[in-house]
Amino acid sequence: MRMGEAFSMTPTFAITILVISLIFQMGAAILSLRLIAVTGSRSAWLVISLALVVMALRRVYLLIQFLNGEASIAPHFENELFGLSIAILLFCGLAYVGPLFQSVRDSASAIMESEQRFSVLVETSPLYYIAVDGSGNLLSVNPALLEATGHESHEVLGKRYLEVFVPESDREWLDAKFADLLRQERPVLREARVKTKSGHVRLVEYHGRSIFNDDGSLRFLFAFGIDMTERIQADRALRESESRFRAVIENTRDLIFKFNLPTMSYEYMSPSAEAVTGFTTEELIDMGPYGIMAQVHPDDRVQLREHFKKMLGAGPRAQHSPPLLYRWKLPSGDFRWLSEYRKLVFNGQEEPAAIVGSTRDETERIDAEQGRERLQTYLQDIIDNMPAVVIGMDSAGAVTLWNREAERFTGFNVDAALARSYLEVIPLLAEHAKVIDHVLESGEQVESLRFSAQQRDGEMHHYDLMVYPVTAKALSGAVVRLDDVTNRVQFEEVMVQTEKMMSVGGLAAGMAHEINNPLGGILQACQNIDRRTSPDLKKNHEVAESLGTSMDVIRGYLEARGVLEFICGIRADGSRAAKIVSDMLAYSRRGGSKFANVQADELVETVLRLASNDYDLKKQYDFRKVIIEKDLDPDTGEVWCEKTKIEQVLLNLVKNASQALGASPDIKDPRIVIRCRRGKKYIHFEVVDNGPGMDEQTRRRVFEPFFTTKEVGLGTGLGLSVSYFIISKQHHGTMSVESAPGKGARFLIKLPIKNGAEPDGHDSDS
Amino acid sequence: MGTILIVDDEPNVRQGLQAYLEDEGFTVHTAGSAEEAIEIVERVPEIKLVIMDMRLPHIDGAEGIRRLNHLVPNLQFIVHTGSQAFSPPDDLRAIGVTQEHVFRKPVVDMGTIATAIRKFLKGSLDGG
Repeated sequence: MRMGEAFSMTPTFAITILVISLIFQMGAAILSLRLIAVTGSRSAWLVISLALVVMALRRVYLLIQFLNGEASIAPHFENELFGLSIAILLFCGLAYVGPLFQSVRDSASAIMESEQRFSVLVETSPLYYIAVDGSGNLLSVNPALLEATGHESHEVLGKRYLEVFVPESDREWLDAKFADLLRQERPVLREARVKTKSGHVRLVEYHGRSIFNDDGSLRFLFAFGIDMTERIQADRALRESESRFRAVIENTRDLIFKFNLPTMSYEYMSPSAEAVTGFTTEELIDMGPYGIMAQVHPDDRVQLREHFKKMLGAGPRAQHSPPLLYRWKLPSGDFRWLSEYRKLVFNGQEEPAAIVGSTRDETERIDAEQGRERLQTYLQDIIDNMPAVVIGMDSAGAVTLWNREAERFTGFNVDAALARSYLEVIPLLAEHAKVIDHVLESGEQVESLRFSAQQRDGEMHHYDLMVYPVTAKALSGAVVRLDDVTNRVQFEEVMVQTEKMMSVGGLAAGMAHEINNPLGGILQACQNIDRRTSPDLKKNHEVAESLGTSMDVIRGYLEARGVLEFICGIRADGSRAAKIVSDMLAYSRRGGSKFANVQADELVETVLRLASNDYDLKKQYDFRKVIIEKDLDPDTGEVWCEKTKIEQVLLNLVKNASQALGASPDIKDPRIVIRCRRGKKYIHFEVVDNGPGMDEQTRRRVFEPFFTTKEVGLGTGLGLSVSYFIISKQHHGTMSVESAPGKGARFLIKLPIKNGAEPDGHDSDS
Repeated sequence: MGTILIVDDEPNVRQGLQAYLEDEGFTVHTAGSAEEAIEIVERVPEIKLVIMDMRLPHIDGAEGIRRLNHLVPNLQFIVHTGSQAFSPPDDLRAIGVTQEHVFRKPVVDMGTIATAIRKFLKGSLDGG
């Protein structure tokens, strides 16, 4: 029986089978096509797909034929059923195989991806990558290593690593090591020297992985290499730098320290500790912060503590503080000045971590400083105590130095004067600004110059001005020195005058000699004329008579015509002239007459005579208009003195009196009384006038050298002071004055009475 | 009365003294220098006294006195000088020229000289 006949093949059933078969075949064809994509292989699946499509087309043909009634399905029924089952099987098979292929493809692509990733890793890695086989031949080298060593991959692959990358000097060693390394599963080779094509050497640290065969021999070795060259160089450089740094720290004179804040202890003390503090580094570290503070002078501790607190309070931006200065107690107990710089160091979190600092022995500097201060004070004292005005100024004329005398002279205090222009504070110098400016500009020294100026006290003062340039680079300028030389000038004037007087004296002496001769001639001629016109000489009568006349006649004529009077006059004037010369000579004679007993009244007479002959150059007064009263005690007797000197003193007093009287014409009855009497111990001389007198101020100063109430040019102001000197020092007497305005003046001189010996102890007879 | 010699370089002085002393009765010679004086004294032994000016040209008065004294040992001298502070040096004193023998110019009254001359001549006469 045929299968087909066994079933009654309804047409519906037949169509269904055909359609189902068709669907499955088409489906399988589509699946097949899909597998192209999965497997990537086109031709195989296309063919299968085509076959399936053809089969499906036959079904379609049959279906069409059947539907058209052209064929019956029964004969083909087994084929159709067979065909259907094949279609279904194919479909299922393809459906099943798809995912398989997919997963194979997936895993293949996963592997590829992984390989790709690995490749990228290796290719782009900055690390070096090598793969060698069991004999050490290079299987793979990554671009990083190639680049670093300057090789091309074809140059190195297949060659032995040892040959390519290892410097000759290392080969033996590495070769030996290699064997050892190869046994390890994860060998590490540090500081491997890798040779570049150009001959340089790089240092590489290799981390490897060995793959072994079943027999334990090496199959592959993969390794990554880290190029340590720069790091090692940097490391070495750092260590070198560190050791240099250390050398500096340890060899500097200053003590360098580091104080750890969290532990509050000294982390580091440089070896200079001992030189600076007297204690070793160990001792100091042991002492710790408290022990160390105990060595600081008590007065200085507060400063250090304050600084410490302040430093911790300030942030990382804190400025450098000025150095601390404090006294440190050495082991000996003596103190030494130290200066210290400190800096706060922060950790990564901006928290204070430590204080680093340097400490220096400032003894030398402080000593020098103190020495300098002492010197400065000393110099300042010298300058301040100079009796001259000393002013320092800079190149612009601003005051930089102002001594005490300058303060006193100008009334400007040093603080008021500093930095101001000298013209402001000492206007007296304004007229000499040219000179001062010249010095400031040229740096040349100028000769000192003298000038006069009226001062506040109404008197004319004389000054010596000296301007010195100061040419030290940093302090250019000038120093002005102003000396009040009024006294000296006056003295010089007196000296000049004295010289003049002395030369005049000398002149006078010479002149006197010259005058004496003609005077003698005049006087003698007069005397002869007198005698030869007198009736007393017999010879006169003889000659007169021989001429036919008589002496009476001659004489009568001469008398009548006043000739005899004239001759008398000539004689008198000649005598006077002779006396003037003689007195003047006696007065101007230099040097000591010795002490001798001198008649007091003779002294006075001489003085009066001298005074009467004294015509002052300017004829300011005429002595003879003044009445002189002599009140000479006859018992005065002799005075033990140096005649000319006492004459000089008395003459001086008389002249002063008459000048005073001469200057006051309204005094009706100008008179001078010279008194002389003998006391118990002293001979008293008085010179009294009724002139205008002196006020108390003048009276007190009257014996002062250079003190004068007379106008400039009249007198030197020395007369009374010299007189005073003569009386008191040379004669051991006293001299004084009483006076009041309007009451005249009374000068009193007392000379000790000699009692056997000269006042200075010499015997009188010599 | 006596013969004297006046030695002075000024003619007026010589003249004046000479006139007076001649009126007094002396015999007066004059010289203008010490050299001339010596020459005259040699010539005129009657000269018993010499009035000597100290300031003379060439040989000065003091030297003149010494030489004259050497020449005529008992010759008397008067010093007539313009110098205000003249004091006879020791060797002149030894000869006999003391302060008494010194007259300072200008001599206002020549009578004093005449008196001194008489005194000294008398003394020398007495002295032999």
